[in-house]
Amino acid sequence: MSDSKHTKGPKDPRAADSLSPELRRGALVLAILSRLDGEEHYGYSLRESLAAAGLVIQEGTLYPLLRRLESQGLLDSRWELAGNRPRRYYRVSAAGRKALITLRGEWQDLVEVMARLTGE
Amino acid sequence: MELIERYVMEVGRHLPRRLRKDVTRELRSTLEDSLEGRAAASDDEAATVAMLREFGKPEDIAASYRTGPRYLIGPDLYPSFINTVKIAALVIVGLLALGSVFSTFDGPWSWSRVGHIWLELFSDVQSTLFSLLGLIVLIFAVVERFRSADATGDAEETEWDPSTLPPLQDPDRIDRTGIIAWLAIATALLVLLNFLPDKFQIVATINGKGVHIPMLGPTFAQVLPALNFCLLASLVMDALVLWAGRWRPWLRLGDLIVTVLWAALLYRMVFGDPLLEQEVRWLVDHGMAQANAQRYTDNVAPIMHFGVRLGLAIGLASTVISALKKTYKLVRR
Repeated sequence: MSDSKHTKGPKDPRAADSLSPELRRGALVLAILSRLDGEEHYGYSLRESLAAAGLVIQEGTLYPLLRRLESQGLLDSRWELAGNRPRRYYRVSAAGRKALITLRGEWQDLVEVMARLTGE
Repeated sequence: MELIERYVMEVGRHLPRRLRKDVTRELRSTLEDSLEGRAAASDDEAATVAMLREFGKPEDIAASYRTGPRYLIGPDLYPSFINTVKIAALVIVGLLALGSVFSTFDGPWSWSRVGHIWLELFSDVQSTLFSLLGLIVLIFAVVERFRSADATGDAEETEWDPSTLPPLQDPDRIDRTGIIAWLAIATALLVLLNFLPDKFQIVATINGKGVHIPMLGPTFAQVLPALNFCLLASLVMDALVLWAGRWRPWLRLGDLIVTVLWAALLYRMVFGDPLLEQEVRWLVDHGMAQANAQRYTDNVAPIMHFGVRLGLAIGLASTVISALKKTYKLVRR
């Protein structure tokens, strides 16, 4: 005989609001590597490109993440002067391309698993 | 533009020097692009304020750029740090309080004298604890720094083997091997100290020659009765534990009492007269040449005394910690 009563935790109406960014944060690296594979972007143009595809990233999140990916060897960068404004252009490195292939495969698996779990 | 420049400068202030120039250069350019993208003029303060709000506080942005160690003491080491502070604080307070107890009864009784002793205790505890806490924080911070530096270059984790988990422990199980070993040591000490004291010698090099110096002088003879008592109490206690086969509450209480007796004896030996103090005349009476005896007393003995005190102090600290652990176990059971 099982106890069907479930203890109820404290209700937090903001829980979904805080969980949604966490869900999206997990996909950011794949999104950035995908967009920079074969294309060069500077920070702002990358953000606009991702937003046009439906993924809005906070500026305070994107730019440090680009630096971190570069320090991990997944991105290469170069400076270029646009008028009198220096811009740092990023693109995927060879190591980043390998990571991208791996992440794409894992993403496909995850999509299938989540489709089964969420009943879609 | 001034607001953007103030923002960039503030972010730069929170960045390490090696990142500052590069990051601020990129950040400035990004902010200008972002402002243009909002179709706002560079002097549109409202738009600039809205944009900077979305970026976030300068210190938060700077923190997200930093890739090095972020903790003085990280989450892995924090529990050990807290335990170390607790144990160290207990030992210090215990030792100082023990000293105050001895001082209280070591002299004529008067409330003002006793009050002064215990007020001094609070002052000593405060200053000692702060110094100790600083030292412990420094040690753990250094360990954390080296752990972080080591982890940065090591991307692969070694596989964890469940068979290396420690075995289940019976809290009342006795350590037979340890008890028997201590019985043997205690018995040997009792025999040697009381019937063969001349066997305790040190060899010092004086004038290029090895000289045998008997260690157990008159000062040591003063603590020998108490030492014998503690050794006998330990022997009786350990024999009872072996006979019972398991720890019982009354055995734990007896063991605790014996441990406290040892702590009191060690305290006496650490803070009392030097155990190895030997007068020149005593050394000469035991066969040493006058000149050698003088040289030993002047040059070698101070070093020996310090070493003995240090060793006894370590023993005392260990015994106090042991007493505290036994108290905890006794209370829990």
